[in-house]
Amino acid sequence: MTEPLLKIERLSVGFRTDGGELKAVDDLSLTVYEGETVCIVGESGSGKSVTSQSILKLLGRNGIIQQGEIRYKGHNLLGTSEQELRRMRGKDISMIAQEPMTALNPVFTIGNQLLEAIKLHSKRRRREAREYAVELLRRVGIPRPESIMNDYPHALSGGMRQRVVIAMAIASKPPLLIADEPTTALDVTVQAQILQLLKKLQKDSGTSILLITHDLGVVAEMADRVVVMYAGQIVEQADVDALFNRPLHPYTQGLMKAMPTIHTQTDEGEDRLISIPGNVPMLNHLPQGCRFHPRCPYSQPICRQAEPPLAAGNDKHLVRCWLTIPTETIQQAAGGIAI
Amino acid sequence: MTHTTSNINQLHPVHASKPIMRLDHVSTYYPIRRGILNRTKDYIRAVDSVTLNIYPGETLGLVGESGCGKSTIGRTMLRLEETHEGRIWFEDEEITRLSDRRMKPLRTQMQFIFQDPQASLNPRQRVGDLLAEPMHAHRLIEKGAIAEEVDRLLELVGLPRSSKERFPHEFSGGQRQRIGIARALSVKPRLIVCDEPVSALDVSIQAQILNLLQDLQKELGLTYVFIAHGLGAVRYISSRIAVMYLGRIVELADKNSLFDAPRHPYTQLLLQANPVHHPQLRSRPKTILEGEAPNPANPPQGCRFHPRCPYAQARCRKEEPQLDGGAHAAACHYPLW
Repeated sequence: MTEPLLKIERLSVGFRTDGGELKAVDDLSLTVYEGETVCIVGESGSGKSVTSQSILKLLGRNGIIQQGEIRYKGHNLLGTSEQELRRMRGKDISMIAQEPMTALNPVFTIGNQLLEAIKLHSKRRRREAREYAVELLRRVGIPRPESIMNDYPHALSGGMRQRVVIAMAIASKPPLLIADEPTTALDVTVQAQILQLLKKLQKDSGTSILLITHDLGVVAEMADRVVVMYAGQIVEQADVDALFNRPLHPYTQGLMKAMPTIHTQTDEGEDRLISIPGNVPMLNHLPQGCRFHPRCPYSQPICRQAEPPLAAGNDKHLVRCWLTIPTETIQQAAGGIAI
Repeated sequence: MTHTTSNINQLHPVHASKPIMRLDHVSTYYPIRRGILNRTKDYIRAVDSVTLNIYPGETLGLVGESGCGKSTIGRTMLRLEETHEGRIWFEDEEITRLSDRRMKPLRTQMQFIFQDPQASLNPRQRVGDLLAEPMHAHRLIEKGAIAEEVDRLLELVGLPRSSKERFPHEFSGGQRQRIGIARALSVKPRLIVCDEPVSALDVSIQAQILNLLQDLQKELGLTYVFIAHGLGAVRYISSRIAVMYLGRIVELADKNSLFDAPRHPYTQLLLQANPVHHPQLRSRPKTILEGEAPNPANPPQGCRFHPRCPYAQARCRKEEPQLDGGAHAAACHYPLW
């Protein structure tokens, strides 16, 4: 295969807190190839957003990248100066956040902000830039784009604001789009419109998308490949069909069973949802051994003692679970701990 | 709306019993105030002439896009919003204009569970006090028995007894929702309006809370109004579902009938907007509902859905359809079946 567009290797990210340094992302590796959509799925505290923020060094003051490499077209982003990164943001890699108001300035018009995004990376003259801005708004499905240019963000609905943010993000045709829960704050009808828009943009311009979500439905709708995260680690990674046909990690299996779908016919009180017991662990109280073992229905003694490696099964399907590893290998690794 | 609507629910065999709550052409408007005199210029018609029966022991799901009025109906039912027009009964008593004093004893019968338990629990009160407070306020049981009752409530919602010594912030989102549920149950209500009770929770925790709500319903014979935008959760927990659009109920049916064979074009498109549950279903053709719901201050003439409806005809632009009769009711001139 060709060189990946984005290659994250052995990334660990910590946060300074009053109670000491917490590791939010632990030894994470992933790749995004040209034109593909990779989804990172996980619950709160899984490290999915932190991973996406570290790519463009948007971690904030308390975040520290403890180890690892993030390569964009072979170029190490972690060694890049802030000045150079500023040039890359928007031009090479763009980001779409969950809440569009965090990306829009309430005191400037849509036109103002869009023109700023356009002019930052191109030498278009004012009139040309304005024409391009209107065209962008039209492309993301905004009705009456000329008049919207003069509106302030508060005058638009959540879905329209997210379209504006997407228009700003694609203004300089970046090869990589990072979308962190882009539809979570929206109605399901508007979510369907935005997901369709992202698919269309990808088809038209071959953009790669790194999509962060908690919703397996969005994953099923969008992903080519999926990374499942739990408590800061990747627990499973596979092609989307493989993951949905045969989820290997008990956590992934649990998530799929716990998700009530509109297609399941149920009679009143007849069947129950299969839930994952317990709570998502806090990063300062991570369990020993496998981080999922206290909630896992198949937990064995070894799961409490040693952390399982992320190991490859068939077809590059990676999974972090002792149950998928042959017994002899475990015995060697665990130094003779009884299983 | 026509008078047939009030008979719809009674036609349904499961609901032969007397309704626990009845809404008759209920409207709830929010004033739009403008100018330096802050005069009311217009109204947002959040709920516009809704007629609905809720039967003991059922779970009525309320779904629709944001701004459709589903939360406002829930709040209106419990008199948390003033009714503009129409009448509300709780069993045989009309509660539309009851004074606070006469409403108070009824408040123990009807409770509310909020989306964000963090916002509904006083952060400075220990969980034990949070649960005891409503019992004190309504003088439901003797003081000496309250501590025991708190323990029983905690056990009921699956929290350890030691929780009563702790503060709400010490709990996770799912546990806090359990506290919110326990508090609602502390006054032994019969009707509970749950407004997006699992939307703020992690996926793995949502199922726990949905199961808990269902167990409690069976054990205590509760009636639920379940408001949510997550259609999967609604299908799982509801017995009947009402679909709302711009302040009106556009479809009302048994849940399986509604999901498997919707009659209103809006319901059909709302269901199709839900993401697929397996990547192999991606290629299945679907129509995307374009645009967004219009401003409820100024709803479209005729059928409120006609500007977005793929099947709209001349009649839909002029004449507003009413909810038709039958167990599976829809407000559409040209229903899908």
